[in-house]
Amino acid sequence: MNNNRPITTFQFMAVIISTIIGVGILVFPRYMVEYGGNSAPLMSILAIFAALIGCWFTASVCRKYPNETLFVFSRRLLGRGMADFSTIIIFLFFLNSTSSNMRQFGEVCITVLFKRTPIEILMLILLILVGLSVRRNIVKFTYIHVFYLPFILISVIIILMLSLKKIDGLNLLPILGNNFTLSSFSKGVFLSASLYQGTFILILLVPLMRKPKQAVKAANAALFFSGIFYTIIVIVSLGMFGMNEIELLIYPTLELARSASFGTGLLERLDAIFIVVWVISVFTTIFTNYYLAVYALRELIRIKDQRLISSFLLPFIFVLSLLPQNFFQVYDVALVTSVIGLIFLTVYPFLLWVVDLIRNKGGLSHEK
Amino acid sequence: MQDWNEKYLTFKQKKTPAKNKAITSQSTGSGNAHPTPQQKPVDLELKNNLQTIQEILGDNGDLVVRNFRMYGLYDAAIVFFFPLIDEEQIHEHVLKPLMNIPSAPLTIPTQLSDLPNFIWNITVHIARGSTTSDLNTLPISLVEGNVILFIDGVGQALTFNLRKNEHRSIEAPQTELTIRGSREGFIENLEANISLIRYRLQTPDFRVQTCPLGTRSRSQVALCYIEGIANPALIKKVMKRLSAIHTDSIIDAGYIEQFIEDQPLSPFPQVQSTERPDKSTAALLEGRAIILVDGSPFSLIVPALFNQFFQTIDDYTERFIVGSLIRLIRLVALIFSLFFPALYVSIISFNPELLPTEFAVALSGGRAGVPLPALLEVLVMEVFMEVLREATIRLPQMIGGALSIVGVLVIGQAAVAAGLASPTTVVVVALTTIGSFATPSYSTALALRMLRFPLIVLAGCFGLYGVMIGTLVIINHLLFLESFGVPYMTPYVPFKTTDMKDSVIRAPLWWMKQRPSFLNSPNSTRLAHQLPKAFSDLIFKDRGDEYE
Amino acid sequence: MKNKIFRRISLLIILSLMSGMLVGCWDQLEIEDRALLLGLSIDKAPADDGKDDLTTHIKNTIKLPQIRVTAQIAVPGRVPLGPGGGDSGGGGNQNPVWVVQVYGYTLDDALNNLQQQISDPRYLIHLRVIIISEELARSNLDDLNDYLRRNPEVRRRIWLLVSEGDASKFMYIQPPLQRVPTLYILAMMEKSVESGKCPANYLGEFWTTESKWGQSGNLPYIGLGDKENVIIKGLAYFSGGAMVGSTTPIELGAYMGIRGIDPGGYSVLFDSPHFGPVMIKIDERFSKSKAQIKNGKPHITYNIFLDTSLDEQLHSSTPVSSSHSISELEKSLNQYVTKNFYHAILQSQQAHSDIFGMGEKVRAHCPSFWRANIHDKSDWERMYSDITVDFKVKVSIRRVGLKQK
Repeated sequence: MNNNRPITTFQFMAVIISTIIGVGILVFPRYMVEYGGNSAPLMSILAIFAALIGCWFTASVCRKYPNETLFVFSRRLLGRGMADFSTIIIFLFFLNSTSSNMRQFGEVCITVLFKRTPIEILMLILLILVGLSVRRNIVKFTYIHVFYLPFILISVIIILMLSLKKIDGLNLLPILGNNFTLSSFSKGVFLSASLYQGTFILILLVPLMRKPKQAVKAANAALFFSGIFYTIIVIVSLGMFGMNEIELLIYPTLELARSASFGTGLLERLDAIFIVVWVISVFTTIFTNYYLAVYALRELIRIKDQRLISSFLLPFIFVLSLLPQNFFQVYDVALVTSVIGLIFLTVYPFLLWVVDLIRNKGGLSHEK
Repeated sequence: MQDWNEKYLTFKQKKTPAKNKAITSQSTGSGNAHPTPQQKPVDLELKNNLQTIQEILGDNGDLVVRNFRMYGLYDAAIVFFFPLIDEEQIHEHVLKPLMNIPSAPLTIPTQLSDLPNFIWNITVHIARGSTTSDLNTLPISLVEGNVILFIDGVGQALTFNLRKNEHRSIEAPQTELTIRGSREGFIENLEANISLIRYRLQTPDFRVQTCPLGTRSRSQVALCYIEGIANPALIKKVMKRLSAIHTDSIIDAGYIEQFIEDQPLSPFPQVQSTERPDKSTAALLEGRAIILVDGSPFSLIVPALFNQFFQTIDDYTERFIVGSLIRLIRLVALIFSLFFPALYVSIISFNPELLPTEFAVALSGGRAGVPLPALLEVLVMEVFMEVLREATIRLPQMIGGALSIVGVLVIGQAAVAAGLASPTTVVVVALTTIGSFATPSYSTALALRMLRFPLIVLAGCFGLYGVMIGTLVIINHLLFLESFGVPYMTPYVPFKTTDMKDSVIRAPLWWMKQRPSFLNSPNSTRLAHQLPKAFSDLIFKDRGDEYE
Repeated sequence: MKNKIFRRISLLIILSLMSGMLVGCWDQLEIEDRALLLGLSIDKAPADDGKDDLTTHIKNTIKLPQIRVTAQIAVPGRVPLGPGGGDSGGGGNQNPVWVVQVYGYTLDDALNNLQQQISDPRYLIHLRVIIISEELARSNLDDLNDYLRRNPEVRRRIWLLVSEGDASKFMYIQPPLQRVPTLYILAMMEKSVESGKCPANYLGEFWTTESKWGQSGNLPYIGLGDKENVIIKGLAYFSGGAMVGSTTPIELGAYMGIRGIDPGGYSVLFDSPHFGPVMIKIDERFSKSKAQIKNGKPHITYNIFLDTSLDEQLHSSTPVSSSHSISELEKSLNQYVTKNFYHAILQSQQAHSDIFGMGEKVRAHCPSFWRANIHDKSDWERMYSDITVDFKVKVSIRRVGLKQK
């Protein structure tokens, strides 16, 4: 296709969905239940709307400048210094996000699959795979996401289907939970919303979209879809285990796979298979984060060579991911940074949006 | 004498389709950007000409120079390589009329310069040939199978194409057998191959661009496409790549393939080679281009996508439901042959919990005496299998079949009995090998066969995780790959609903109204005729046509 | 030029890293080199049997009661591959499993002692059945479960069974039906679930119910028959993490009836006033319940529907041959079944063991009451004894078989 805007709206959505569905699916139900008990499903639904705010601002700002990425037009809107400073934060955030995802993935692997293999090796293999893929352009980047999305969805859906008949409706009641407090509920919503930062990738996709006008709608739809997907995971694991059991489990979704079986005893222990297929969704998520980090750095130091930066960043990400000392630190760090990320990635697009509104009262006047 | 570079340049400039080939050949003849020596006129002296020719061609046992007296009036000579020429025809159509002393000598022109025209118009009954005054082109036309006529006192030489077409008869293709397809396969002779396509494709839009390639071998290379169906950009791209080939010889179509493919480092073929004229014709009608090389019984189809490699002509000749199912099975076999041994290794040595307990206990019993770890065991058996397979190709056909059976049965059995391999491993290896035969394209099957080995090693190091990483590498590579600008995994990614009708399934022919959209054909509608009224009508209503 | 060198160096680094990966196959271990534990039995160690292998600790530093673990390990090669192993030349006499007995303070300690005795590394990946003795179950199960929960090798679909008397003797049985004894017990349990004799209370299920505040765990309770056969004797029920009692098989049927677990597998032999002793087979169970607060106390109402068929009638002088007689029979059956249910509930209430999950219903439907009164699992188990339960049972006899009179 000789079109220079090759990304369709469907592909755009696929990228966002497969980015959002990632490492988080294993622990997500536990987080929700810890904060909200039985109100976890409600919480995760509300979180979608909280996440939609940032997504909406980002997408609508990008839609106004359909020919450039956010990094470029932010310079015009905010001035060089300000924009570059934000780019640094974006870069650092996604760099950290890459390494944190990587580490979480490694932790799961060594606890469940490998006992003696060093975590460094497991992570390095995946990191090199991602690093090599990041060298390609955005169109190929979308191809990868589009191709893997069905596999990500299907693997989770199969596990959910197998667990569906064991759901006990009582476990979901009462909907507001037995120990509802507004503070922990809102904390949970906030935390859950921080899961959806992958939507930020749209800033790279909009300039290549065939119909950039649909960006806002498509981004919201994609976010909503993945939110619902997460909510279903929460509902199924809560319905199957009940809140007390989930609090005891480190990876509730994985336990779903461990409890599932085809037939009676014919094919059990699906957790190994599930983890292996889950590698795909980890791959796509890390891929996006890495890509954003590389792209941000590229814009920051104004170099065109993506390959160079990709190889240059690889050791940093690797070292960064090895920093946390134990399992709990990994998740604490991940939580703190993702909340910071949520705030920044909501406030910054909002800022841009407001500045744009003030500068061009006409709104879409400069769009060709 | 044209070459691909000139062809490419003219094709690129060709804005108006009115220009025909003859004009372009003249217009570009002067603009020789390529290293042909300067023109050297044909000498008026016959002796000098013959001497020059002999100097250029050196001492050749098969070069024939026959001096004679034309019409009893002029000294003349014909020069040719006798192995290339049909001597019967020379006697009949060249020597006989030329040496004949005409009853009315007045008709013979007295002007020497009129002689060539007279020969063409009156005497010689040969369709192909030309008159040239450039001596330097003559050696080439000699080796191409032309007979050259020099006439003393005429500054021009006449070439007659009397090439002897000696070729084997058309047989069923050896590598691509089908049940319901045609039984004809390409042969080594280019003209015969083109005729095989032409008689399937009786349209005036069918174009064959022929040029020799290779400075030494000068093999005739034909680029075929259908004007108005193939995208001109594609043809341009193919021509450009062909023109960029600077080599001394093209021995087979495979040479061309390696010069024009997008990513030479990829194990996957980006050009489809086929022995079947019907397949080539179908490709032409989809808007692809094919390349034929003289001396090779294979045609190259470009662009070639992953999708094509597990499709056969049988899918289309058979009815669509069974066709689709067979295609699915072939896909399963393809995946199977790639992953099965790797999965086996990783389950045996990393995740035995995936097996049902009874089977796991029994399996560990089967492996109890085997000294090698599963990784080595499978690797050794797979390598052995590949060796066996390679050996059977080289073996004379008579014993080949017998040996493969003996090899598989006896050696497999013996390996188990000797404790070198467990029975399950033998089963796995055998199934994998059989599965890899189900992939219709030999080159893809080869790629997958070879990719199996790194996967097995990865499985032996990291179990299922290793297999997954290997798979991701392969799939990523496939997604990054392009064939002549078309993403290799089309129509899956980028997804195209209309093209999905001919992917893992094969939709009914009357439903596939469009040519593959990724080829950007200028004339994309394949099917003008109305669909059967509705799908439901087809299924539920009795088609009582014959009673009406 | 510079770019080229850089590229080559990076390629070299990547390749050397890759080759480093290929060297170590850290977790690779062939299936036949693993000692696959198929079944475990855990007893309290006899008091005088003061064995201590000291593999994990220094002498006299641990003050815990000792346990005795008997493990069944599959011996590779003794179980022939594929069906029809009859012609293996007298191999049938060899025992396909190796039974090892060890002592230890905890399960992990005992398994470490086990490792000292066998050459191949032990793996729990194919552990299918764990049998604990009633004595041990009555002390505490939480310590045991901690190890099983942490270890990723352990399936959630293990059968955890409580045995009457000594548990280790189950490891020594040699059933004629299956080559591997544990697999016999496994098959037996799986099939009893299919035929409705026993609820599918896997280990994972047990964990889930145990961690719920409003429900108490229960496990299948088995005993040894003559010598080689295992009998499902009922349900062992728990309170406060320890076993407090066991039911009879028919009470197990009542339990499944109250919870509405399908398919119905139990038959009721009951002496009806009009028709004499009849055998009624329960085919399908359906249960609906409602929780409400009455007089400050939870009150549960059960609506239970049983689809049954008449299997046997002994004194056929008054045959069950009309719709009227069936409804007559149903009526008396209703009373009998209801009595049975009350009996089952009463027993569990006395033991403070809410195996029916009534607390969960209260938690779900009366959250305010729950929040005010229940602050711990033990709160509910105490309260459970005082709640009132109502049964509305509807038994329908749908089939009478081929006999008319």
